[in-house]
Amino acid sequence: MRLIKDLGGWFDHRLQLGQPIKEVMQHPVPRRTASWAYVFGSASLTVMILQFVTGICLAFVYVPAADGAWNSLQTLNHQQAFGWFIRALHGWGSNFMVALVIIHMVQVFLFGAFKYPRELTWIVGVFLLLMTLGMAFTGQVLRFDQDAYWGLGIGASVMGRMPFVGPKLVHLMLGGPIIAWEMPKDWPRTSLTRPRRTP
Amino acid sequence: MPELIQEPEAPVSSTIAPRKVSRRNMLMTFGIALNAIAGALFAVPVVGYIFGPARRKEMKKELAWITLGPLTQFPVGQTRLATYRNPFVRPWDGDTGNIPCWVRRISADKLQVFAINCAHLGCPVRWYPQSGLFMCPCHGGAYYADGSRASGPPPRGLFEYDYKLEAGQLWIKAGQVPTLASPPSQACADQPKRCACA
Repeated sequence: MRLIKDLGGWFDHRLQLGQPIKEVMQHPVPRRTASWAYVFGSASLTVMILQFVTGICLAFVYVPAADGAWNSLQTLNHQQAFGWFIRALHGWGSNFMVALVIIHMVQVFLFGAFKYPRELTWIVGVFLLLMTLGMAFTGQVLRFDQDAYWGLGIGASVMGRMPFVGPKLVHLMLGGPIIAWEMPKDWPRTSLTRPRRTP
Repeated sequence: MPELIQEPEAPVSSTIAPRKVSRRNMLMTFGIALNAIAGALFAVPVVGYIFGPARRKEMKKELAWITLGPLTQFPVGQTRLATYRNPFVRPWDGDTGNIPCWVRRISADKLQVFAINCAHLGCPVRWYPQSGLFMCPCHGGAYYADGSRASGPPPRGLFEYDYKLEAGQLWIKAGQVPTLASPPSQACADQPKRCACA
């Protein structure tokens, strides 16, 4: 115990993080602002970090190919240690992320937190919401099972209804003329390298 | 350090009631503890997942008998390249699951089966019948026909697989990439400097 304390002290003496953290945690706030309504922003951040960690872990085993994706998921579920758990965490994390981000948006809207001087926060948040929805959609496609395949068909049909740019958007989303591997193959690269912030 | 106790403040502070644990402090400690538990619940599976391939249970099942085909394709007095499908592959391993090895047939029932990997750093060695040597393309390791080290940086002779002959077929015990830490055969583990299995 004393060793841990000494070690922590050694690090804190150099990092100087302990005191600022303590001050933030002990900062007095008005009673009526100490509310659970404010947790959804940091909750989405937490879930996003979990998504990053579990997503990188899954990328160790996952095979990004139309004829390999499903088999690699079987390995994850039945052979890889904790593979089923990491996969479930990532899948549920994706659902929770969407839910939390939307709850967060409702809270910001109802509390009027989008007004001056926070308009830009709201605008950035709109794009982050769209990116979250986009990743939730492309992520479930990675399984490349029937769900994913026909889900892409739905996405393509929805896109195709856009006036003027519809056909182009369909090709852009599918990465080609048909529902094939192009788009999911692209997905891990873009999602792992694209920086993202919680709204 | 007794001199610290005799600071002038010491008697003053002793008259104040013992330090109270404020609700704020208690909740902070409680919150940190709760976060530590949540972090551990998350970290344990992640660490277990990442280190899964190194688990003892996984490492135990890494050697199995596998056939190299009929013995007739290895003429006496020659060293031939053979390829086998590793007994442990995942469905998407493709060509990387096909492992080559060198088969030297000394007599009718006496053979040596060498791993392709140089004992130095694992590059694939090649048999040169003209010079009667195995040569490594990476750092100039060379081995005699019996697999013992001839020159270069390798710390021992070529790795050898255990073999057996059954129903006219040559079988070897294989399954993992040979390294100094895990030679496929323990036959010459006592003589790592110069494998004298010939």
